[in-house]
Amino acid sequence: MPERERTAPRIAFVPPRYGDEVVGGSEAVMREAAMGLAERGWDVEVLTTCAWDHYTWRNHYPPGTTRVDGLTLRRFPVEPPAIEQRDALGRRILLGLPMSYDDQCRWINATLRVPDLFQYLLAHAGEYRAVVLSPYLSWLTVACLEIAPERTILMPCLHDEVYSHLDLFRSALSKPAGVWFLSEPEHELAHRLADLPEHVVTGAGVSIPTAYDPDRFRKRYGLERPFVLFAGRREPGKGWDRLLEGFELAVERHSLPLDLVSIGAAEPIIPPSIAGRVRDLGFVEEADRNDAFAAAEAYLQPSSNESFSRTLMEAWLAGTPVIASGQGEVVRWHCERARGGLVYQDDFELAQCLLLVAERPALVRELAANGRAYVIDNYPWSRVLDRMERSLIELGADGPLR
Amino acid sequence: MRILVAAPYPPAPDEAAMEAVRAVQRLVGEGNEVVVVSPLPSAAPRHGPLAGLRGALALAAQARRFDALHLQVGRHMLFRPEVAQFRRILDSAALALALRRWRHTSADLGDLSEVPGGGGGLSGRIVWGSIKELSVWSDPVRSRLSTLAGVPASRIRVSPRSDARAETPSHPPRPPAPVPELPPWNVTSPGDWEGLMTQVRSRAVLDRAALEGIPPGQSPPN
Repeated sequence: MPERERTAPRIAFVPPRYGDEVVGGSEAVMREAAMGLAERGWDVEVLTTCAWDHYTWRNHYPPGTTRVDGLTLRRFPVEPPAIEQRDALGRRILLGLPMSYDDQCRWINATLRVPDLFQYLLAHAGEYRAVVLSPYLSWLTVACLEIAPERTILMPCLHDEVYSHLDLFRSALSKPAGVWFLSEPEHELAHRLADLPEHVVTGAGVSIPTAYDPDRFRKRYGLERPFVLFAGRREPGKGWDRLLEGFELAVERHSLPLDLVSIGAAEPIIPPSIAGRVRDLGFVEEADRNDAFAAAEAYLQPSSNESFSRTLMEAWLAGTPVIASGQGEVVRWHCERARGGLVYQDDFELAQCLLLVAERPALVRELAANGRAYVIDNYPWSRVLDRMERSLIELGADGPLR
Repeated sequence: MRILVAAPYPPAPDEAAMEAVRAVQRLVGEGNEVVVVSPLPSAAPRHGPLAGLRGALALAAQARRFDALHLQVGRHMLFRPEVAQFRRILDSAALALALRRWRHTSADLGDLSEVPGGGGGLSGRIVWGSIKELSVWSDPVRSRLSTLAGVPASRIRVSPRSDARAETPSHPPRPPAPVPELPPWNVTSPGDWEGLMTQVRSRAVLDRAALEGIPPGQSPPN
């Protein structure tokens, strides 16, 4: 057969959730990488669940196969979580109590199960040149790693958190043929946790918007006062509670002239003492989201559980200064490398960072320019996809002809 | 053929679970229709008791719905070493009756390390005697099983565990106060990023000290 007629190599991406309305860092990277590789001529399939909500894992989408985003999407129903067992074992994990490997397995099997997907991949693994699993903290990843480890790539999206130290996940890191890391600190953490197979720091790509309309965003949502922005899950694991404490300190003690606006799915808990200064907009469309970054005086990243932090990049791209928690190695690494973000260790430092934004806006906008240059140099999707393709080809999956 | 595979299944730490995955891949690759049942919730589409009387009843109920049963014997399967001897023997007799209802049975016992109770004694003899094809991973294991359970060595096939499994590591790796007068921001250029961060930190220290009533010059606790 002439080489030109060769069929494109098929690869499978296996995220726990998939869709443009799904909020989550690893899900977003998986989706955009899948779409990007499909655009480059790879035959990409996505094997995922029918779930939209990562709390309940309720089946939301119909099962079956469709074509979306230029790829084949196969959805499989989720077996509901065994909530009592999941929560009881989960509490022990969070408390740092010793837990046998058996109990770790009981816990992960109680989080959710997708036997139909597992069976499908088991029967069809031979049709894929590579299977990409992500994130590490997912039943799908732990289970599907056993199917075809010799052609599996794990994109763990690791954080230095109690879960990543469980034997269950440490052993998972050594099983695949290759690992894709999103940042150097994540890579270093993985070395501390396990003996790694072949691996590469691919980074994650960020789409560069062609234009922003901050005024439209302010008008649409009736935002008349200057504000700082938080985008993501408003939950303790993402630093939301601590962020509110630091913000309250700056407001009450230093009369900070900035409000806090948050966007993301679900409803956050906001203490009554600052309810008048915090405005939650809920889930917003992507265009609005980009404009929100541009309209903000600064973007706040309080989470120490990040393996890449796309929102940091999105803020910098919009020319918006970043204030990030130094407790997280990854965001601190980005801020230091880019010399583009303000880093704080406690509520008092956060308050000072907020004051700096309010008092010296021109100076911090220049910092943001450093950040924007950093993103454009390192994380356009074209470069990230180049690294991913190189890794796939080294794994034995010939690239498509272009 | 329509085959029921009864086995521990991922995610599980058991060698038997990994070996079951290879067995299912092989059987599906040969064109069989395979259904997996595991003793605990897992990636298998079904789960339920596979040991003792309840396990015997469950296996007996499936005997006419499949052409063959393959047991990848591991933890929580067949035997219950924790119960009294009389009960163990009763369990084994029930299991043997259940297994004899099947048209074809096979069991992979691995290296016996994950067989509950070790697979020896009268219980082992009763159950293994009702299975048509027995296999283990090595000659020494065959000899051991033959001695422990009194199964003729000629009835036990040696079938090394799959290569793919051997390549996969199975064990975890190695393991309200006055606000102080804060100094003005001195940095004029974003090029001095360190200088800027130093100012943030020193102003924060002053602010915290004032709030906590710590005299100037003394460091607040971390």
